[in-house]
Amino acid sequence: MRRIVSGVALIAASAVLLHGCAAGGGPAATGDAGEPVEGGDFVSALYLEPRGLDPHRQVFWETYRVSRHIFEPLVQEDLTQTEGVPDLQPALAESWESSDDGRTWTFTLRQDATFHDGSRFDAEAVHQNVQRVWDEDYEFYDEEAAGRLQVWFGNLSEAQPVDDFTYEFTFSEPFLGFPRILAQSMYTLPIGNPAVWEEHGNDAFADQPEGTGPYRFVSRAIGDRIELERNEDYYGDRPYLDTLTFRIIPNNQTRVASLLNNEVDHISYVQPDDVETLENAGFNVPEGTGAQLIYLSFNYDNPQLQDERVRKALIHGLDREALAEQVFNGYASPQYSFLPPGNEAYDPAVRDFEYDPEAARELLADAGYEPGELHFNLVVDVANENLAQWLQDAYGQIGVETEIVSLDRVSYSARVYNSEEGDGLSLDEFGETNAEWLFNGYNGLTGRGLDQDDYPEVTEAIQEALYTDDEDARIQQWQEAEALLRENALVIPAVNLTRYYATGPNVQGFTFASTNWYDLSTVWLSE
Amino acid sequence: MADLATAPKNASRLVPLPGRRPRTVTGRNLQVGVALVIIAVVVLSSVFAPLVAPHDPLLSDPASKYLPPGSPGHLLGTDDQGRDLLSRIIWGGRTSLLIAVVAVAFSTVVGSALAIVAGFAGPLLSGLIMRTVDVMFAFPVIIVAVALAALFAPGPSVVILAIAFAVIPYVSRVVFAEVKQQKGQDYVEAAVSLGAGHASILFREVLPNVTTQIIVYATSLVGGMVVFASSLSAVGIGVQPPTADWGQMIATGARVVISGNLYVALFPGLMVLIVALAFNWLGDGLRDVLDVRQRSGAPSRRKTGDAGADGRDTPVGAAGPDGHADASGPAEEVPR
Amino acid sequence: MGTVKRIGWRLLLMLPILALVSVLAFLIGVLTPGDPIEAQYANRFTAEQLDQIRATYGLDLPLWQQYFVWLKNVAVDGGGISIVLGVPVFDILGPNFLNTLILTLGGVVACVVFGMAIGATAGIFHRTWIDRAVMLIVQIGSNLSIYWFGLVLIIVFSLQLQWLPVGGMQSRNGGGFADLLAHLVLPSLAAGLISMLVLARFVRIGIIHEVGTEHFKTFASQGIPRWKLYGKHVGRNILPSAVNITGLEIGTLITGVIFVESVFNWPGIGTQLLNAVNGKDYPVIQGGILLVAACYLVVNLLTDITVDSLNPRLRRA
Repeated sequence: MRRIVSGVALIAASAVLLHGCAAGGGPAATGDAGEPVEGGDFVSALYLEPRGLDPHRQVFWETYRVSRHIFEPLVQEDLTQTEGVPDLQPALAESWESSDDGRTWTFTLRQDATFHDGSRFDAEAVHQNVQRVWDEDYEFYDEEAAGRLQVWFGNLSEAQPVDDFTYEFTFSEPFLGFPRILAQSMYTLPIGNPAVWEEHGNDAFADQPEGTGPYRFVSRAIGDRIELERNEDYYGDRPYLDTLTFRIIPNNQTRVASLLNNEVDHISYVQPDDVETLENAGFNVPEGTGAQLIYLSFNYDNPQLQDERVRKALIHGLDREALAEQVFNGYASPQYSFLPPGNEAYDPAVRDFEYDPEAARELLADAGYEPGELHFNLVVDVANENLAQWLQDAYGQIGVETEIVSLDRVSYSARVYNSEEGDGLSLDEFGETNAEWLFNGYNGLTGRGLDQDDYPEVTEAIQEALYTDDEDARIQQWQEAEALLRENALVIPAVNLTRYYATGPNVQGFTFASTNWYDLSTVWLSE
Repeated sequence: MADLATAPKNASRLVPLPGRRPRTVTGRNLQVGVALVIIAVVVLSSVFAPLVAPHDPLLSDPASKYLPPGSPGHLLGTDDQGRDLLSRIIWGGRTSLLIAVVAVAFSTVVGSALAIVAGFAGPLLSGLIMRTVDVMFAFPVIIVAVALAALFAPGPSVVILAIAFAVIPYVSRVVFAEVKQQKGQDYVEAAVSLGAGHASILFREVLPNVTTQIIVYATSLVGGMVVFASSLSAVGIGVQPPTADWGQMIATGARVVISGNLYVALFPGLMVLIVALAFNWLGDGLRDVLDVRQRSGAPSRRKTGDAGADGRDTPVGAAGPDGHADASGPAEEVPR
Repeated sequence: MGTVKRIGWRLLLMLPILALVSVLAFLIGVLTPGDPIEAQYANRFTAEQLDQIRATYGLDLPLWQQYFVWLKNVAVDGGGISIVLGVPVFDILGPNFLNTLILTLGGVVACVVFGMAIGATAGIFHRTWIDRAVMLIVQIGSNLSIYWFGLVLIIVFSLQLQWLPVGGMQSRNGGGFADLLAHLVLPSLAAGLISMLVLARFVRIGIIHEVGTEHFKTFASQGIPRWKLYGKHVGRNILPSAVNITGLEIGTLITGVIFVESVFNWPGIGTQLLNAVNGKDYPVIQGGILLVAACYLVVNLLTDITVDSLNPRLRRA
C-alpha cells in the first residue's frame, strides 16, 4: 500500500494522502434491516481516478477497490472482520501448505471456478499468470508487472503446475508470509484471465479486464465512471446487487454533497469535518480499524535530522492524542508504532517516545540547539495545510521553528523524492496487514534519504524476519525488528483514521474491513 | 491586416466599466470619496494591523475551531485552526493587496508596453505580438501556473507571474485598441501630417491619452486578482500558510462550505468585494478627473464620445463606425 | 480586401500560431515538476530498469527530438500513450473534450440568456434604482470565487430545494436528454457567470447608447412602441458585437472551466488535465493543452468570420 502518487485534486484540494482506520466507537458494519434483498444498482464514489485495472500492474487503493470485484486471489482475507488481523480464507485456492523449510508452497485450487468468458480456471491459468510476471521466456512476459512484483517474487526460483488443480511455488529463501501477501492487493498476484492478454496483448488487458470474480467489467469512462455487472455464473455466493458503478468524484465537498443528495450510495475518504454532518442527516459513517498509517518521514538528507537526539525530540514533542482530537476531530487514533493496526505484528501496547515537551527540549539542548535554533521546512501537499499548521504550532512549543512549504500535489511528490536544503519532515501514508510490510515501509524511508547501512541492526533484523523459517518465531521477529526501528527513532508514526467510508441510509451489509479495501458482494439495498 | 483581425475583437472585449455613475458632480465626488475612504481604511488597518487586530492572526487554538460569527472574543468566528477570522482579515490585507497591486502594476506595464510597440510597429511585428497575446489566451492558466511553480519557489512571485500570464493578454488588447484609436484621431493624424516622429506622437499625443484608460483598467483589475489568487491558493500555488492572505482564506474556507461553515470563505470574500468596488469607483473617478484635464488640452477623446447618455457610457465598440471601443475593461474576464 | 481572401489569410496565420502553441504545450508538459517515470514506478525498479522504461516512452531522447516524436504521435498515433493509464491520449481526452464542449455550450447559453436579460433590464431602466441595483449585483458577481459560488449553488438548488443534481452528467438510472439538461443547469450557470456579466455590461451600454441616438429619438417621437424599437433597432445594432463577445467568451470558457468541472464533478478535459499534471503524465498534459488551445483558436477564427459577415463596417477599421 505504498502511497501512490495519484490523480487529481489539485483543484478541490481533495486528494489527501490520509486514509486508513483504527479503533473508535460505532459499529464498523452497517445494516440489521431484516433479510437481504436481491437487486438494485449500487453507486460508489471514489475520491480519485483508479489506475489501470490490471491484476499485476495495479497500484493505488481506489484501483483495487474496484478491481477486487473482478479479480480474485488464491488466498483472501476475511473482509467481514472489522477489527484485528483479518483471517485468511480460501479464494481460488481451497488450501495451501508449505514445506518444512518454508521454501515451497503448494496450493490446491478450486475446481468450479470459471473466468468471465466461460473458460476454466485451473493450474495452467495460474501458471500463465505467474509466467506473465516472472518468466522472461514467456511470450507475454510483462516487464512492468514483473518490476512491481519483484519485491515479493524476486526469490521465486521455480513455479509450476503439479496437476490440473495443484500449483507449486518454490523460493530460494524461506517465505512464511507468502499466503498473506497473496491476499494483498498490490505487487502481488490476483488471477486474471490469460486468454485476454494472449489475444490482445499485455497493454490492452486493462481495457477489457477479466477474472473469476463476482462482478464482470462492463465499461469505463475515464474521469467519470466504471461500471460492473453481476457475474451470473459466479461459483460462490450470489451477490445481491445487480450492478456496481464507481463514479470518480475528486472534490471532497462535491462527493459528500452527492451522497447527501442520494446520487451515490457510498463514498470513500470522508473528511473529519463531514462526519457529524453525515450522521446528523441519517447516513452511516462506520468506525473501523484498518491498515493505513499516517506518519511523518524525516528527510535524512538534512544533517540536522541525522542526529538521533533531534529525531527523538521531535517525537517527544508531538502530542498525538491532541493531534487526533484537534485536527481529525477525534476520528483518528494516535499511533506509536510503525506497524499499523490490522497488521499481524501490530502490538497496541508498544510506545516509541511519549509526549514529553520537557524531555524534547532537553534532547534538543543536548544536541546543541537552544530554543529557536533548530529550524527546518515542513513539506506538505496543499490538502494537508491544516495538519502542517497544527504541527508548526506544536513544534514551536518545544522551540523548533518550522516553515511550511505547501505545494500542489505534483510538486509535493517531486519535492519529497528530491528534497531541498532545509527540508525536514514530510507526510506519508502506508500500511498493509502482513508483517512483511515493515520491509516495505523501511525501504520507503530510503526514498527519504535514509541509508540502510547507517542502521545495520535494523536492516539485519528485518532481513532475518523476512527469511525466517520458524513460523512460531516469525511474528515475534518482526516485532523485534519494529522495536529496533522505533528505538532508533527512524520515523514518527502519527495517526490512523477511524472513519473513512460513508454509506446511504438504505445500504445494508457494508463492512469497513480492517484492511484497505472492501467487499460489495455482501451489500444490499433496503427500501 | 493583423489590425483588422484584432480591432473588432477588442471592440467586444472592451466593455466600459459600468459601476454606478451618479449624474451629478457631487454624486461622483461622493463616490470617489467613499472609495478613497474604503481604500484608506483597508490600507491603514493593514499597515497598523498589529495595533488594530484584536488577536494574533497566527495564534491558533485548535480546541475552538470553526466558531461561528459572533462568538465571544471572535466577532467573525474562527477558522480551521481556531484562529480569529477578523484578525486574519485585517492582517491578510497586507499580503493580498500587495500581491494584487504589484501583479496588476507589473502586468499593466508589460502589457501596455507590448501593445504600444505593436501599435506603432509595422504589420508584421504588430501581428506577431498580438498573435502571441492570442496564444497566451489559449492556455489554461492553472496548468501554466503549476509549470511556473515548478520553475520558481512557491510563494508570492509565482502568484504574481501567474496573474501576469493571465492578465497581460487582456491589458495588451485593451491598450492596443486604444492606441489604434488614438492614432486614428484627427489631431494625431494632423501631427503626423505635420511631420511629427513616432516618438513624439507616442509621448506627446498618444501616451497621455491612453494613460487614462490604462489606469482605469488597472484599478478595475485589483479586486478580481485577489479572487484569482485564491484559485491559485486552492491548488497550492500561493502564499504559504500560516501567513494570513485573503486568497488563501477563501481557498481554505471553500473546503468546508458543504460541511456547514459557509462563513469562513464568505468574510474574506466580502472584503475582496468591498475593495474591488472601491477600486472600481476610484477608477471611474480618476477617469473623470483625467478626462477633464484632457479635454481642456486636447480634442474630445472619442469621436462618438458625446453621443452617450451621459458622455461616458458610450459603447463605441458596439457600432462605432470604426469599431473602436471604450477601453475600460472587464477585469473579471480573467478566468479563474 | 475580400472576405475570402481575409479568411484565407487568417487560416494561413493560424499555422505559425499553432506551431508556437505546440511548442509551448510541449514545454509546459516538460516543465511540470518531477519525473513521470519516477512517480509511476518509484522504488520498485532499479535505476537501469527505470531508464529502460524511460526509453520506451522516448524520454531518453534530447528535448527537440522528443518534441518531433510527440508531434508525430499527435498527428498519426492518437497523441501517444498515457504514462499513467496506458491508453492512447486522445482516447482519454476525446470523450472528456466532448463533455467540456457540452458544458461550454451550456455556459454560452447561460451567458447569452442571462447576460442579455440582465443587461437589457439595466439598460432599459437606466438612471433608475433598478439599473443601480442590477449593476451592483453584477459587480458582486464579478468578484465571486467561482469555486465558492458553485458550492453555494449546490447547497441551495441541490441540497435545500432538491431541484437539481449535485454533479456528474447522468443520474444513477439516468440517460436521456432531459437528464443531461438537469445536470447541465448549475455548472452552466457557474461557468457562464463571468461571461454573462461581461455581456450584460455590454448590452446595457449598447442600449443606453442606442436610446441616446437621434434616430431612436425620432422613431420614438413618431409613436413607435419602445419595445418594438428595442427589439428591432437596438437589437440589430448591438448584435454583431454581442456575437463577438460571446465568441470570445466561448474561448475563455473552454480554458477556464477547470474549477467548475471540479465542483460539479463534470467529467471534462480540465479534470483530465489536472489528473495528468498530478501524475506527471506528459503526453496527456501536452495533448490536452494542444487540444484546448487549438479549439480556442478555431473558435476565435469562427467568431471573427461571423462578426465580419454581420457587420461589414468593421472591415474598414
